[in-house]
Amino acid sequence: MAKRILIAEDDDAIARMIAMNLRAAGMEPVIFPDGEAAAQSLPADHAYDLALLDIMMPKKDGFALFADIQPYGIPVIFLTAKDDLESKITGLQGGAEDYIVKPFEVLELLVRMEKVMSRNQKPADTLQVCGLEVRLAEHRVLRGGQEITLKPMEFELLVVLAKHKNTAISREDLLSLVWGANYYGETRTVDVHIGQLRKKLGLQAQIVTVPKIGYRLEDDT
Amino acid sequence: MKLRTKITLIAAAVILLAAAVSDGIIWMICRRTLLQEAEQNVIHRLAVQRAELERYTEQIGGTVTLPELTYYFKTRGDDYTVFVWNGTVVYNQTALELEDLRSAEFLPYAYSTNEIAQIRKNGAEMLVLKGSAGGGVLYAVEDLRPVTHRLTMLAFGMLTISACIAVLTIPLLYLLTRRTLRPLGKLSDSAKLIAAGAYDERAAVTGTDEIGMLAQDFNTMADAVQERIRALAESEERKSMFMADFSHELKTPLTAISGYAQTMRTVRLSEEDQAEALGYIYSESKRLDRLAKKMMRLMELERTERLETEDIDISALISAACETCRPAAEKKGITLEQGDCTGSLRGDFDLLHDALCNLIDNACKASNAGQTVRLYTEITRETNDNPNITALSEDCAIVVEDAGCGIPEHEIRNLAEPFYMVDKSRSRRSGGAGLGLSLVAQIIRIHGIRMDIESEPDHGTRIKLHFVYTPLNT
Repeated sequence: MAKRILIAEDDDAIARMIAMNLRAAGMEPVIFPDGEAAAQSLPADHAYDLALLDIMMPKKDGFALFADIQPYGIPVIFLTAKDDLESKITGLQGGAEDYIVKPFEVLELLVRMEKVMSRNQKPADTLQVCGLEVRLAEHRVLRGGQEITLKPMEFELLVVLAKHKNTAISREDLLSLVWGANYYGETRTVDVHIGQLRKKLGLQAQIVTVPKIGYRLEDDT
Repeated sequence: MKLRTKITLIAAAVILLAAAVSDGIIWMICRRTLLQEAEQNVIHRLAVQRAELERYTEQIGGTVTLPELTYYFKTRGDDYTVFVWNGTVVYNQTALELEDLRSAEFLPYAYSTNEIAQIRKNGAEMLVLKGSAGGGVLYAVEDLRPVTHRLTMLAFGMLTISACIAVLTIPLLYLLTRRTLRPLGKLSDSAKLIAAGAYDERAAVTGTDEIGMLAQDFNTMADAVQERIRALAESEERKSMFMADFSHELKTPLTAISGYAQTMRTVRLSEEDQAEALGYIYSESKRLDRLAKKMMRLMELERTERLETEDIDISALISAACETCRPAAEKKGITLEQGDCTGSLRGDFDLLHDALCNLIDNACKASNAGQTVRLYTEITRETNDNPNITALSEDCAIVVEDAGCGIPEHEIRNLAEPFYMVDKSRSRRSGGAGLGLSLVAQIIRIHGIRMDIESEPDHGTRIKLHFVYTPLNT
């Protein structure tokens, strides 16, 4: 089931930009132009997996809206241009899960959202991508019930690509997401593993090389 | 050394010195008196003895012999008299020997034939008056030991009294000095507090003496310092507010631009999404451009002190501003209406046009569809006795009036602050950065025009630009 994300952001451009990225990642964003509209909609519909709140919004600011959201147990990430320490402390002490300062990298936002969601609920056991069934707990990949053997790092790489499907990830980001931030490997390592994945899974067409950036796993389903 | 110790010590020294001097003077006077008394004694004795001796001599018949004299002194002599006759001591009951008397230096005594001397013997001081009588030399002797004793006692007594006075006065002096100087301590405490940052601290010292005056001056100084610090803090705060607001205004479009660019680089987007992303990148960069231009304009205007002026027909100025703003206003369904306009003023047409457009723009943002923004001039004739300057003293105002949401009273004075927006959220929906009114404020400042803002929430706002009216030369 697609994850539903509440976005409360008064700046149209930013709200729609985030929504565009979330939709591409297979999530279902719902945009509110101010805090009051979001707060009023909550009693009727509060089935959200995460809320992204701007702090400076008309009518009701992010901190006030946060108080309305808390009773529903929706994890909250503040998204704001206010990068003074005081606001951060207020946000995080109030129980927000994270605090992202504008301008931010889209991938950073997605990774942080994913971390928050995995902290707050049982992670999905199985990812379905390009006709593959990726069983996370068992570290197994199946196509039509047939298991495909992958090395541990190949499996991790596939998981990262699958989680951010339809989004290009640079070789550097892949290195740090898969091998860890402390791994000083060469980006060649990534290319080699991508090659292995394409061959073993038959995903030559789906794992796309994006020039000057990196790789993207495309899935139209 | 503390001031109170210093003052006490100086005062104590002065007191002791004064006591010593007065003691000395008194002692000298007493000594002289006592010595004069002793002198009177010897004079008296000598006179009595001489008279007695002379009477005796007369009784006998003019000439006396040694036995007669010896007999006389045996019966009539006293303990203070010495009589020497032809070089032999006839009578002497004193401690002095003839040798002592002879070797003594006698000085003539006060308008008489008598001579006087002081003779010291065995530690005793003797006053001796020498005079001739009965054919011999008569000495009257006064022992000065009682005098010396009394003088010693006197000196001792006086020194004791002085010492007692000193012992009593010095602590008293110390306490009084401390009491007098206590306000200085308070003043010093206040100064320390102020130095430590408590700028609202004042010295609680009253009184009209020098310390009181010093405290008053000190408080005046503290007022000045506090005011200066407050002004500095305010300007500092304004600066940091400006920087925070400016960075916020920069970051919002930057977030959108960089976000869409990243999205386009990394995400597979549909045609419509791509078009939308590009559209936003374009419109947000336009917004940055507008912000940069306005900032440049504002900084330029802040530096401008003088400008090229021309006579401007106010009616034409208002028409031009209305024409410029009409398309945007009509898009929002707002009517721009030009009322009675008259007069002229000296100024820079482009700048004033800009200022009016900004005001119209603000009025449109505050209004809802279907409402009207009106521009007109208003003349308030002021009573002036001099008919020659009536025309000039008429106060004229360009009024921009809307019936929109209005401005809460406490917000009005902040309006011209850069980036200030009544709506704290700084909603981008109305499309401003909060620089418009700052620009207007700068433009009218260099024109010497006064701006009045009258507003009532939910009823609308009336902005008046007051200037000196000049009739239009046609």
